[in-house]
Amino acid sequence: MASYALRRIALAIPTLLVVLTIVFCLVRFAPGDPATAALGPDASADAIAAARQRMGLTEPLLRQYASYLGGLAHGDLGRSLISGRPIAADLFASLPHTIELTLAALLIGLATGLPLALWAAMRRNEWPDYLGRIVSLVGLSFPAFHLGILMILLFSIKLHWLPITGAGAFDDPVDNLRHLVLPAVSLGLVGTAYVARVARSTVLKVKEEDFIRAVRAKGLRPSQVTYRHTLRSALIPVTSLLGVFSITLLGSAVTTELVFARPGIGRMLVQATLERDYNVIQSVMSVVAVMVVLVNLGTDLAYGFLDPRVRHAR
Amino acid sequence: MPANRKWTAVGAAGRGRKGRPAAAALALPALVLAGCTGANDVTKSDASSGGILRMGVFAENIQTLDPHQATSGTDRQIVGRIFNGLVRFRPGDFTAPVEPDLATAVPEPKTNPDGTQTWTFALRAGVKCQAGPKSPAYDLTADDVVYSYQRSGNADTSAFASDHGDWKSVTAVDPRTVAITLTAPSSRAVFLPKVAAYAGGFVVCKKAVQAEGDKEFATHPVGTGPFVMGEYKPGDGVSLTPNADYFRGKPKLTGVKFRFLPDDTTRDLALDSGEVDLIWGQPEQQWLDRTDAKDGITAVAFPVEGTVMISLRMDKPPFNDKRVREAVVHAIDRKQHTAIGGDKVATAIWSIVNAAGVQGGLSEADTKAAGLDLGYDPDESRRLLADAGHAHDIKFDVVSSTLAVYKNNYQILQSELAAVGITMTIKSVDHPTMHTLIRKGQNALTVYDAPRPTMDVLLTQFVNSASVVVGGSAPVTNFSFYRNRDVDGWLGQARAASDPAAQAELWRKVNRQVLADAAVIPLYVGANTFAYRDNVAPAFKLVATIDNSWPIDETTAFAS
Repeated sequence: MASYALRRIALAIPTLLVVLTIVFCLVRFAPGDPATAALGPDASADAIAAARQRMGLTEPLLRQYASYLGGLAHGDLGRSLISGRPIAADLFASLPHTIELTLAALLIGLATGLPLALWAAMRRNEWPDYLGRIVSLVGLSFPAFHLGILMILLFSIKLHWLPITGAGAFDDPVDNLRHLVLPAVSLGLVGTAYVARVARSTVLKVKEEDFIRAVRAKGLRPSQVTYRHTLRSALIPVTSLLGVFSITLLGSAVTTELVFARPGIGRMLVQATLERDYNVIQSVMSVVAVMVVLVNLGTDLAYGFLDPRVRHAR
Repeated sequence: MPANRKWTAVGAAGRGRKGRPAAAALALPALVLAGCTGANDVTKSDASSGGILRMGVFAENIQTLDPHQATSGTDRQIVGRIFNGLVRFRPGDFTAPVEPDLATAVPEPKTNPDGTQTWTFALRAGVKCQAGPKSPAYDLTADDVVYSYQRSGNADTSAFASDHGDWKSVTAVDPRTVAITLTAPSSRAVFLPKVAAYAGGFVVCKKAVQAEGDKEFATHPVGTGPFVMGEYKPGDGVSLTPNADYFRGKPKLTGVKFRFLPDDTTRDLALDSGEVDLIWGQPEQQWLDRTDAKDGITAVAFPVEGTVMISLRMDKPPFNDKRVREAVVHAIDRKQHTAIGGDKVATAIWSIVNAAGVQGGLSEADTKAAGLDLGYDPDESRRLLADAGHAHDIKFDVVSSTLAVYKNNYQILQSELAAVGITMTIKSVDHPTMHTLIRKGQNALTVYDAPRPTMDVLLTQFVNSASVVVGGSAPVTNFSFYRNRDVDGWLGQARAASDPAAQAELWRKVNRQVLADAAVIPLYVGANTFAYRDNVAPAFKLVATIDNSWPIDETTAFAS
């Protein structure tokens, strides 16, 4: 297992380098200018030229690239070209909120999707199964941001139960949770749909496998057959899905962050892209790339845990 | 206004039912239950504990709170609470004569024997620079003013350095007297906005800037204004606290919080629910009417003296032919363009300078009297095009921003031009890209939304030869490539005119010539919209704002 993990980590490093290089090139080839964005569209040509020099944009591309990688290697994310603020401060103030939202949405997706899937699969072609399929369809069809607005109208405007905007302080767990509920649920219900759909299919398939018939024949209780054998095997493809879905959630979190005015790296990235703030774009993408690599690694390790054949394979 | 409510416990569903799946049904309501413990404090602002005004702004984040770099609406809304200038625009009405701010009076200039002009300002006593993170509070002196204007005149530290192009020197005559000498005489209307509490006119506290450095100062600004920088939370908002030593008196509010709410719907909902007291709105009649109809909320249009106009590139085909330019003028129906915003938000204008607000503009009647009536007449437009030999063969592309003001106007224009046989294809790009491309002269026809502090700035930037976007000696926003020596001369004379009537007449001459040449087609002047809860009564008569800001100062308070 350890060598399996080390192999995965070793592969991650060149992957990260390729991603960072692509990001570096893409942002610079897009039209637009951070100097104009910083000074406003009506700044004089002289002021814009002076700003470009200050921002280091007149340096050769290779030197900019080397400086970027060198900074990253030292853990220095640099300063925003637009605001001049240290990127690390804003990024690490926003990142916990995005992680919190994504994890909460993932948990909601799992906590509601898996039981629903299991229930639907065990009661195939009965009303729980139809309910499960309807929930999946609705969840997949409904955009998360629209669901978010509807939930605001109900729970905040009409019932005055929960706040609409902001993230709440981490040192006040109740306040934090109050601010998390609506965005996490609106984002997480999409996960419910995905998980329910995939898990239902795999459970149905696993139920028909020979080894399940064998454990039933051995006299195990139905609950043992379901949870210890059927579900565990069904979780393997679901784990792969969750890995992909976590990464998708990171991207989907942007619209949820926008609707609920939550701080987060998604919004930070969108703003930086519109402003052509190369340094922020590169830094945020670096962090996102690391997170994706970690999620993939986690998925691979979970896979290895669930399926012994994977961890013992050479 | 919604009253505070206690949350009721949500009953747990499915407890004790058969099967583990039922347990999952507990998860969601349990989560809601956990989140709903305690009173809902999202309703009214906290007037009972002193009054923190919460304003929802259209921004993802601040760019900078350095007043000499702040160009975005949000940044200006915030820095305007922290800093002063030597003079200020009257709160709520920037069209009124400027008033003293840090200066005790608005001085008369003195013309010197060498042709220069000196403005001498006496500073108020007892103005305190606020305490900053690395500097204590101290008395403001002329040194701070000199430092500020040297800083705002330096392209390395200021986005407004070009405003000081004609400044010869700024000196501290004594600790409470500042003298600014210009290379040539300038009128009050042209010079005083440059030392007003706006853009490069803001006075910063020298010791604070030097202690923190320019980069830190952008997040921890220190000024002399009614409010002091409090907390900044990235992606969330900025809080200000009252300046107890403010020279006009301690503010009535116990704080101001600017919340970053970039999504229009979220901002509206936050106001509805009482999470904020005041918001920036959307520049549309429908939004105004819909929002104003809500209980406990008032929506208003608050004009910015700025112009939406169309520039036609005159140095090459198709608009190098005056007949083609005039054809475009006659193809445009201003009513269609103002219908986007509605009567309260958009007012049609007939010259770049809006006649209604400021001296120097032309009304519809003025243009007719001058034989310059260039109203909507598609038949005349077709006749002019045929006469020019271009009945149906004019085709060109333009880049447009995705911002509503550009997108909507270009789309209306597209159909207006199509009706007379001109084909214009619109390529939508994001806002920064549009600005980059149009400054490379990419558009044969450019729609532009231009709020400007003075008529001199507006006219100079759009019709002065030096301002031509490509090839001008000081390129800014002359998208027409308009080069007229007479116009340049009149602008220079107006700048120096000491008699306001003579100055206004020179500006009118410029406007008449620009219209006669069909270089620029003025469409309308727009207004910003705001909405506020009824306990936030504006302290001022809302006439016009210069910087998209809602006036918040020491007199602002919640209505009792």
